[in-house]
Amino acid sequence: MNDFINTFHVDWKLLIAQLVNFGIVLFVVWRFALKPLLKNMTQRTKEIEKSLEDAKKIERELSDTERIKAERLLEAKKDAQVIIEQASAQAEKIRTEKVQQTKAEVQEIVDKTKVQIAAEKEKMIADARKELGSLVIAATEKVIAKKLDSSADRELIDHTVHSVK
Amino acid sequence: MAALAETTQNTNSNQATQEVTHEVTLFAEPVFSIGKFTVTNTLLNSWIVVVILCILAVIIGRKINKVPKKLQNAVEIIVEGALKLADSVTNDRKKTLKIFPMVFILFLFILLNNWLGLIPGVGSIGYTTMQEGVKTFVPYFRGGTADFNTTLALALLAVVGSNLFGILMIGGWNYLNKFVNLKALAAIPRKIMKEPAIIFVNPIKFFVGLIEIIGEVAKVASLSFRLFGNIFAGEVLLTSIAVIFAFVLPIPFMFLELIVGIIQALIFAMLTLVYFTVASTAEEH
Repeated sequence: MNDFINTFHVDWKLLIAQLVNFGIVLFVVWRFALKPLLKNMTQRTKEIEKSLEDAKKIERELSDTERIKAERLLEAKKDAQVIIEQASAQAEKIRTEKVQQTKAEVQEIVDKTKVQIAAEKEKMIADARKELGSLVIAATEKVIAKKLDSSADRELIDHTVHSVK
Repeated sequence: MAALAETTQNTNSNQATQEVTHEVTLFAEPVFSIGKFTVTNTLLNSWIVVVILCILAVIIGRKINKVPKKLQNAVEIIVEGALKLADSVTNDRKKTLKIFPMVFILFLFILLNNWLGLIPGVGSIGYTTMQEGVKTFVPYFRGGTADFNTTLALALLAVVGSNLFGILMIGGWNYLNKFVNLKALAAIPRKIMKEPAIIFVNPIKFFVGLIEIIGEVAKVASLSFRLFGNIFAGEVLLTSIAVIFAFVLPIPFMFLELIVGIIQALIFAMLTLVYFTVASTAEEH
């Protein structure tokens, strides 16, 4: 053992001096460089992970929003379609109603007119008959040139009128 | 003829005593002393390493940014790589972060000590002194790890540190049972009915544990001698090559020594990492 120590000049003082050297290096490098550096690195890793996560979230949300937007748009289109259909149906209904109504009115007017025409015709016939009657009287008076008594006269006139008819 | 030969030899040896001998000694030479404490050339070199590393640490630590630039970037790449390497040994990032500072700084310290021994002037600038009637050249500087004191100190630190770390991590009782396996002995009467083979297995376990104690001493020896041997051999090699022809010829060997320097630092650090990792895992089975 002594030979060994002499050969390599093992000296506990030097040994401790080298330990102290390394201790100083260990402390200074750890305290001033490695510790803050590692802290910084882990912090950055965390931050990058977080922002990646955030980016994913945002992307997801964006796609969600887009999907919802598309859905809404489709819905709106459908709604619009329905509204248009309803409107046209209603318009059709109104149109047919109007047409019906108009037809009915026209019919009414036509009926009324027919009735009126018929009444007028009747009246005209009546008038004509009356006039004819007086014409016949005048003519007969002229022909006969003699006035019958009024009852015979009337009878005769009626008879004549009937026969004319 | 014989007499003539003898005289020439004598004159030769006389000349040698006049000339300055320039030999690479196995140990570090003392340069000066402060009181009773002798400062050797390797200690001087180690002090330079300490100063360089401290200055570097302060420079790097002073402006650490979220967004790394230039120097910080390079350092971060190295640290990141080292962390990955350490992870491959420990398989556990938390444990790595506990061991990493010690091992990484050990690596830096050894690496710089190895490389500083290669700088021109280290080992070639010095003074002559009379030693046992012979004028001997003593260099002012000598690579820090080319001194057994340094490597032994670091190896002791690594092994003792790993043991302390083991005690801290798995507790004193568990750690003691790695070496003096009382648990295995105590298990014999309890389990002998279930598995009779235990009467052979557990005494073997106990003796394996005892051998581990010798293993710890062997760790110190292997770590310290490996590093010292490699770096010292490198210095001897470079000196020998320089004696053969001092220009151009040593350059390939310089590169070789650069590689040896980094490899040895890496081996020392990795083995320390392994010792720490093994010490912090409880005995299996």
